[in-house]
Amino acid sequence: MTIPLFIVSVLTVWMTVEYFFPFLAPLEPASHTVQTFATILASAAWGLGTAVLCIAHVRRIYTQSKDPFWGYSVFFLATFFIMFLSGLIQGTQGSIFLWLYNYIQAPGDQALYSTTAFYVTTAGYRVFRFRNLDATVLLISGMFVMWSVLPLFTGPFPVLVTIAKWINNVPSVAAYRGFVMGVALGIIGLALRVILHKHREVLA
Amino acid sequence: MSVIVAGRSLGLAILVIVIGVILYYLRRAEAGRLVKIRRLPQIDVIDEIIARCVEMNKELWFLSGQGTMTYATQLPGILSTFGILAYVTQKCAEFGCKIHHPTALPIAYNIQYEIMREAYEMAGKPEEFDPLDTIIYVPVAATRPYVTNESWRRKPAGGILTGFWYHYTIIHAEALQRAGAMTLGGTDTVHNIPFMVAANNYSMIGEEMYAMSAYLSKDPALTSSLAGQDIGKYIIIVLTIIGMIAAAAGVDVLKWFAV
Repeated sequence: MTIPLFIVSVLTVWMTVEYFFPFLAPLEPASHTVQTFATILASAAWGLGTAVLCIAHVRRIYTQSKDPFWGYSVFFLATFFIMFLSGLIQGTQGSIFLWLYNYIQAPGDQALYSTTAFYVTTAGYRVFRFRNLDATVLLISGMFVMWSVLPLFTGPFPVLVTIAKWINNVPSVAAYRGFVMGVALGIIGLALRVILHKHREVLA
Repeated sequence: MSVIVAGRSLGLAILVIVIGVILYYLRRAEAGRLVKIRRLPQIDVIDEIIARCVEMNKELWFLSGQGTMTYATQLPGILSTFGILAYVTQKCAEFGCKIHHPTALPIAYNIQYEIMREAYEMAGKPEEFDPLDTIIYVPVAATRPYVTNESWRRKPAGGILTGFWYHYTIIHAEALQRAGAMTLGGTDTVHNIPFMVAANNYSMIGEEMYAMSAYLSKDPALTSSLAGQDIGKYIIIVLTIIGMIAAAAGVDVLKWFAV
C-alpha cells in the first residue's frame, strides 16, 4: 500500500503545484500523459465488473427454477458474446460491431433517454403542489419559467420572459455558485486526505 | 516570469488557508478532540426507511449513481456513498432487511462489495450476504432498464440514492417511487439536485451527503476536513459580502479578485 499511496501523493501535489506555479510548465505534457494513464487504468476495472455480471447471469441460468426470468439471462449472455467477439475480431470500427451499435444499442439508448421527459412530467405533477411555502415558491417560479418558453403566454404577456430571465440569472445562479463552491471545498478536503494517506479507499 | 500564474493568487491563498485549517482540525482529532457534527435529520429518515422495509418484508434498494473514480470532480460524491452504504447495510443486516445494491461503478464495486460483506459480518450474519444479489454490477447504460424493470418486479419498499448522478436521476428515482418505495436521494451534481429534490420523498443536497458520510463513519479525518471546509465557506461568504459592497460602490471588483 505504501508505494501506491506515495505515487498518488506525489502526483496530486505535482498537479496542484503545476496549476499555480509557472516554473512547472515544461512538465505539462507529462501531466497530460499521467491523466491518460489514469483513464487506461480505469478501463481495466470495467473488465472485472463485466466478469462478475456474466457470473451472476450464468448463476441465474443454472438455478433457473428459482428465477422465472432466467431466459433474459440467456439473451444477455448471447448478445454480450456476439458484441464482444465482433469487437475482438474486427475491432470497434468493424462492420458487424458498428451495425450492432448503430442499429440496436444506440436506438435503445435513445429510446430510454427519451423516457426522461415522461418521468420528469410525472415527478413535476407530484411535486408542484400548494403544500407549504417552499412548494408554493417552487410551483410559482417553475410556472413562470415554463410559461416564458411558450408563445401562447409570452405573446400576450411578454413580461413573463423578463421574470423568467431574472429567476434564471439571479437566485438560480446564486444558489448554483454557492453549491459549486461547497463541492469544490469538498474536493480540496478529499485531495488533502489522499495526500496525507488518510483516505485509502481511493486505491480500492 | 511571475512566481504565481496570473489571476490565481487569491485562489492559492484561499487554498493554503483551507489546507491549514483542515490540518489544524486533523491534529486536534489525533489528540482526541474530535469535531462535533450535528445529527442530520436524514439519518432518522434512513432509519425510518429501513423500518418500513422490515415491516413490509420488502427490499431496500441502494443506488450509488454513476461516474468513475478516476475523475476528481466525481470522486468526492462516489466516496461519500461508502460511509452511508456501510451504515445502511449494517442496519439492514441487524434488522433482517434485504438490501439490493445494483452498482454502476466498476472501480468502486470492489470497495462496495467489501463494505457490504464486512457489514454483514459485523452484524453477525455473514450467511445472509449473497455475493451475486446483495450487490451486483450493472453497466451504466443497462441501469435504466434494470432499475425500471426490476423495481417494478421486486417492489422495494425503500430506496436510497446517493453519489454522483447524471441524467438517470429522474428515471431511477421515479421508477422507485412508482414501485411504491419511500426514497431518500442526494447528490453533489448541481444539475441533478432539482430532480433529486423533486422525485424523492427526502433529499440530501450537496455537502449534506459529505456530512452524512462523515457522521455515520465517525472517521476523524472526514470530520476534520468537514470542519476545515466550513471555515473555507466562511471565508468565501466574507469575500462575497466585501465584493458585493465594493461592486455597489462602483469599484472594479473583478480586477481585485483576478490578482
